[in-house]
Amino acid sequence: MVNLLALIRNETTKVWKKKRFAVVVLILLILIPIFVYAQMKIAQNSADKFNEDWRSELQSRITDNTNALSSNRIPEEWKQWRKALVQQLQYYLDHDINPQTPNAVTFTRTFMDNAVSLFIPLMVLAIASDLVSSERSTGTIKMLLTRPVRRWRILFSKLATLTLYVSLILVVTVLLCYAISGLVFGYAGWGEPVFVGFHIRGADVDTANVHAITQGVYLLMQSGLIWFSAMVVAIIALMVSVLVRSTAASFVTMMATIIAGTILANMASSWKSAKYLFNVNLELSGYLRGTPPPIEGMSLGFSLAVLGIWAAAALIVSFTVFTKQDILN
Amino acid sequence: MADHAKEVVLSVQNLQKSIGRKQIIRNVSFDVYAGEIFGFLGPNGSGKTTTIRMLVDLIKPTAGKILICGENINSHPDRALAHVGCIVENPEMYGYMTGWENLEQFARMQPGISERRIAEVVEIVGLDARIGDKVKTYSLGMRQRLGIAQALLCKPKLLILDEPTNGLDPKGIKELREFIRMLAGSGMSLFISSHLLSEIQLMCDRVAIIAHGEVIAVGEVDELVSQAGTYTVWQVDKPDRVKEMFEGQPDVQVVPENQHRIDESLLTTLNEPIVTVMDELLVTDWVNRLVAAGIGVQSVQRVAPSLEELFLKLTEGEKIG
Amino acid sequence: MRSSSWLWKVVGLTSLVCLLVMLLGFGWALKDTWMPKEGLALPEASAPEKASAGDISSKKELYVTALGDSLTKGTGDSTGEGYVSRAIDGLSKRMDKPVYLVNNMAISGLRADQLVAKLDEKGFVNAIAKADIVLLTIGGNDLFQVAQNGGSLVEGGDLSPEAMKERLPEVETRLKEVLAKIRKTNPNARIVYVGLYNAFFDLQDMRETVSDTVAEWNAFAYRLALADGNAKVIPTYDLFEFDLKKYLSSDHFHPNAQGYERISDRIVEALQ
Repeated sequence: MVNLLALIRNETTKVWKKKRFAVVVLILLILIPIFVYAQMKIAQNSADKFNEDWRSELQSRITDNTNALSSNRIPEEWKQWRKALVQQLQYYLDHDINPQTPNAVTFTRTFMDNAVSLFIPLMVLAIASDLVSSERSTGTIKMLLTRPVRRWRILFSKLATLTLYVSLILVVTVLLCYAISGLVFGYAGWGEPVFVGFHIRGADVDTANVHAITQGVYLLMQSGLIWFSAMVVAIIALMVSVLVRSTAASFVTMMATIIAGTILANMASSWKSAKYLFNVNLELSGYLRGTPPPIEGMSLGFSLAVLGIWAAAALIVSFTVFTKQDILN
Repeated sequence: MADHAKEVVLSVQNLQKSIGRKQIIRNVSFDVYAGEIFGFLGPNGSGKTTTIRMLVDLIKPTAGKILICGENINSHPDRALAHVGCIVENPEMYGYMTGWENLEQFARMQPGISERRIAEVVEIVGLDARIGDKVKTYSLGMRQRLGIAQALLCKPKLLILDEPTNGLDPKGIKELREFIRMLAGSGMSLFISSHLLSEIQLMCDRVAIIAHGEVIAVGEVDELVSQAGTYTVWQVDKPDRVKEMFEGQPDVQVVPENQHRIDESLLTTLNEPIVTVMDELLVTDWVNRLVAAGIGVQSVQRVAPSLEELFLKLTEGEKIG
Repeated sequence: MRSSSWLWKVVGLTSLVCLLVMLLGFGWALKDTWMPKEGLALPEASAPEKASAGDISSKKELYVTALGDSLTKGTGDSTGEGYVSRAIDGLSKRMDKPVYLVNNMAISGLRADQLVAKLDEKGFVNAIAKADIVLLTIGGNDLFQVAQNGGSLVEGGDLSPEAMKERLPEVETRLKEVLAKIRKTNPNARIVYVGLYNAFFDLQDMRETVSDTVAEWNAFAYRLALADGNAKVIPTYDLFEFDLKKYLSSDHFHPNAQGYERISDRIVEALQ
């Protein structure tokens, strides 16, 4: 019996030598400075406008959103979302806490919140999509599967490698984000308070369980949740990679699914059963900061369950197909 | 046959494979013994590749059994494959890694392969100079060698090579042939598939011939060849006169150039060869008669027909029968 | 050639640590959501700024806070500026010193009773406390929104001058409360109340009654301002009496850019 660790080592080396991770880091190195620059412009703008008075700025956001509520043109679910937002912002103002202290930690957590639905999955797919399909398209799978190792062990080692790289990608994203934005916004901010525990009930926000945590802890919890949804994307991508022979096809299939999810999440609140799709449940970190879910009735527990079931099903399909399928080409 | 006393390394029993409703492989059976070079011959599309893939667990048979050193490949692929080294079709390796790193990868997939063993197989296939280069810079011949090095890592009892001469130049083919003989000499069994009949004839001890998903003959290459009859090829200084002399003789039959099936390569070195079919015992007599008639006999050789002819004979016979 | 050994050690160990960190974060998030424990003690925030006492003309810079309804928000102004930004620009030029907007917290459709409640909110308290000048419009929605079924006039409800008149005393007390609360929050700020106008002056049959009510309202506001001592009422009713078309926007209710320009001119005049 061959040591699983040796197989994982093989897979890890392959992904590394294929420079997949280098591509991810390169994308981050290009994109993060762009976002940092944009955020810096926004910050300068509002500093000019509000004389660096965050209370005024916060109140202005509250007022703007309240004003938008009275408009007849915006859809009802949008209004609910804004109502909840106004209540949250008001909670921050009432407790004299600045929800957006200008520092690298704040930038990083905002960036991660925005990255969860598209950017993180994209980077995960860069690795996950060709994990199996590339072996098939280059023919190396024939070498791989004719070695005296059970097929499930091969796939398991790929899954383990994927898990390692997904974790690495998330941590590297956070660190790069912090390091780059710190140049502009300063490296402080780990101890700033953030409120968590808002419960959305329809249009109302229940603040009974609201408590403050430091931004550092928030970032950790947020990354953990994003990691979970990234893992689900990775596992489903692995399944597609097992089923589809071409890397391009498997990448496009997954990307289309993810994009469809973000679109659905923005408009499908009238199609209630869409909440059972995995791709509208990816924004787990939203539950932490108390953003109203895209479809009523969704909660952290619900989304975790839906994602978990999808991932489990994808694993069953992957392992069944991979261990049984005939390698014909 | 005396071979039965030998150890059976690979035993294929009543192998069948259907894809959808189509039966691709019907009842294929043969045994490969220790230390022999076994040819697996068939035209493209005959089910050759499918059979080979079943031997190494890439395709699951619909029915039948494959035993490698007594281990069933379907129930214990890990145990059975531990005795096998193989290259299925092209020797595809990871192009973004060096040859050495590739070998390391495959070495880690089996217990007990040391770095020394890797260095050893690199030396055996003669890749020492380029082993530190990325595989994507390798020529096909070098990839073939690297593939063989990979297959040899585990000191296999059975080496399966699928169309090993594909894409190699004549020099490479010759080297490969010698290499294969050397491996067989060390006690390894080799299973070599080809659609090139001369290849098998030059390399193999025994052969199984497959057509339309069925094995139509298994046996010693020489035995099968003699079944197809042999040619006597004359080279003389006055070919036209000799042809005239042969004409009308009941015991000699001249085969026109386009009707015999001797490998082109065997005849190209000869100047105006006359291909005949005649009894072995008559050759001396005829040499004397030709010399008496003032004709210089440069050479007389007995040439075995190609396996292609054998193949045609076997399949024709089947059709008639 | 034998480089992959350290590569595996570094990448393998690093990513394993990353995995553990992510698992920790995930577990912590679940625990915090379902079994929250006492939160962090909130740090003492720096106190919000307060306006200094003293006269407008003697200060080096001025802070303006605007409250109220759609008029203060600037609805109907195609340039989006409204009277608030115009007045601030005008003041800054006229008085030759920087004038800053603390915040424009106007909300479309806001009624006086709603404003009374909002004035207790921290955001409002902060902004008003910081201001040297508070600009205010309120009452229009209360008075003009008394048509049938509560539909506002802009939305096509019928205006009932009688109901409007009936409603007047109640709204007047709300205005009084508004001014009292602002004054309580900021004892020194100059409060500028922009008066109401009759947007239906061109409707013959209700010109008189509505104008009556508007005049009565403005007079009441004026008395309140007088009593306060540091408050001003900016009259606007005369602007819209004969040049209604010129100064009203296409909704026939809110001023247009020119209308706002005139209002801001008057505010600047009055504050000098």
